[in-house]
Amino acid sequence: MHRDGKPHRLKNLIALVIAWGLTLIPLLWGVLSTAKKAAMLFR
Amino acid sequence: MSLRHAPPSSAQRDGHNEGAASLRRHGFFSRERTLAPAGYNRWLVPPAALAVHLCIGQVYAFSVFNIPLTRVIGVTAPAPEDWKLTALGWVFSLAIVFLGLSAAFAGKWLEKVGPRVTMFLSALCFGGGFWISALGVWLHQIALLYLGYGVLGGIGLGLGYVSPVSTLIKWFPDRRGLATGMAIMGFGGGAMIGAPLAVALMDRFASPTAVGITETFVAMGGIYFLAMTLGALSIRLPAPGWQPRSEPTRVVEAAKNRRLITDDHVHIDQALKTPQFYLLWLVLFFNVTAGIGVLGQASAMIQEVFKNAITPEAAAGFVGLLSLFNMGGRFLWSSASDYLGRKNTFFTFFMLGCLLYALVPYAGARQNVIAFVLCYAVIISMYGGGFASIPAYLADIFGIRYVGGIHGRLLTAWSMAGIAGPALVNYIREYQLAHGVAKTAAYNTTMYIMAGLMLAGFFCNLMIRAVEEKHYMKHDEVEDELDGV
Repeated sequence: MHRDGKPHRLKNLIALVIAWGLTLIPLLWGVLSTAKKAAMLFR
Repeated sequence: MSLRHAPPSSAQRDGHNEGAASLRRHGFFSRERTLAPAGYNRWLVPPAALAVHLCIGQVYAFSVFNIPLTRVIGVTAPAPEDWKLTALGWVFSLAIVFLGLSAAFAGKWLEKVGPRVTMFLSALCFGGGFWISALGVWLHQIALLYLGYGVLGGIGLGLGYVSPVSTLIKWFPDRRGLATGMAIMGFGGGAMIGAPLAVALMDRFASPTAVGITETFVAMGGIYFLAMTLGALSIRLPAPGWQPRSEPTRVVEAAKNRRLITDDHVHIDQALKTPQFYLLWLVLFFNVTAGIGVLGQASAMIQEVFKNAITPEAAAGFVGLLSLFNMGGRFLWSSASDYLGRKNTFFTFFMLGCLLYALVPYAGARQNVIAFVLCYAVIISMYGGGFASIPAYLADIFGIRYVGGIHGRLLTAWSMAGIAGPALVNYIREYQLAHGVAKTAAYNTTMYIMAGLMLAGFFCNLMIRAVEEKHYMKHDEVEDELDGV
C-alpha cells in the first residue's frame, strides 16, 4: 500500500504472476503427464 | 483526471498505531495476523489454497508406491519377508479414515484459530507422515507406515482439505462455486503431480540394492512440507465487513430471495440439528458412492466389458482420461453452479447420472467403446463436480461463518461412501459371476443400482429447503463468537 492509501499496482501484478505461476506450472506438468497416458486409449 | 487519496488524519494514524500494537500482541500464526490489509487483491488467495490442495491430493496417487513397497527387501522381486499388498492397502484406507475423522472433529477448532495455523499444522502432519513412513521403510516396520502416512498424514489431509476451502468462500461470497472449484480442483490435480513425481524420484534413487523408497519419502515429505508452508504463510482472511466489488449473479440473487442463499449464519453445532445437514450428507454420499466405485474398478471394468478390444495399456489410458475429467469437472461444474444454482446443479448430476448409468450396459452390449468411455467421462466429471460444489451449497444454506467446520463434518459421507462404493461394485460383480453371468455383463446390475442411487440422491436434493429462522445465530452471538468474517 502506498502512503496515500492506494495499492501498489505493479507489486500486486508481480505477486499475482509469481503466485499463480508457482501453482499452475506443476499442475500443468501433471495434467500433461496424465494426458499423455490418456492418449494410450486412442492408439 | 487522477484521484489522490487524502493523507491519513491523526485519528487514522492513531487507529493504525493501535492496530499495529494489537497485531504485535498476537502471534504470527494467529487469526488476527492473517487478516488482509485494505486493498488486498483477493486473487492472491487461491494460489495459497491450491498450494495445499495440490499437495494433499497426492493421496490418490499412493498406489504408485504399492509395488515397490512389496520389494523393499527383495528389490527385483518380493522376498518372503516383504510386505504383502493386502497389508499395504491399509495405509491408504487409514489415511482416508483419518481425513474424515480429523475434518469432522477439528472443524470447530479450525474456525476458531484461522487458516494459517491449520494449514501449517497440516503441512507438519503431511510432511511428517512421509518422514515417519521413510523411517518405517528403513527399519522395515509397517506399523510406522500406518502411523506415519496413515494416521499423521491422514490428519494432515483432513486439516488441509477443509481450511483453504472455507477461506476461499469468505473471499468469494459472490462466486462461491468458482472459489470452491478452484481449491478442490487442486485436490484432483494433486494425484497427477504426485504420481509422476514419485516415479521420477524412485527412478532417481533406485539402485541394484534398493528400490529408493526411503529417499523418495524423505524428499516428498520435504517438498510437500515446503509447498504447504508457503501456502500457509501467504493465506489471508478478509477483514471483518469486507465485501467484493463485483455483483452476485442473477441466479444468486434469485436464490437469496428464496432464502436458499442466506446472509445469516448457523452455528456448527446447531447445523447438526437441522434436516438440511443430513439431506446434504445423503446428497454427497449418493453422488460419491456411485463415482468412487467406478473409479476404483475402471481399468478392470473396461477390459472385461471389451474383452479383445482394450489392452491393459489402453485401460490405463482410460483411467488417465477419467482423472482429467474428474479434475476438470471439479472446476467447471462448481463454477457453473454459480449460474445454474446449487440445487439445480445437483439435480443435473442426479438426472444425467441416472440416465448415463442406465446407458452403460447398453453401450457394453453394443460393444460401443466410444459411448462407454463418454458415459463414464461425464459421470466422473459430475463425481468431481459434487465434491467441489458441496461446500458452496453448505455456505448457501448455513452461511459462511462456520462453513469449514460444517464441511468437515459432512466429509464423513465421503468416508462412508469410500467403503460402500467399492464394496457394491466388487461384491455384486462376484455374485453375478458366481451365478453364471458372463464377465462382459457382470457390471450391468451394478450400473442399474448406481442409477437407483442417483435417483435417491435426486429426491434428497428435492427435499432441501431453507433453514428455519430459529436455527440462525442472533446478531450479538455472531459478534461474540469471532471477530473475523
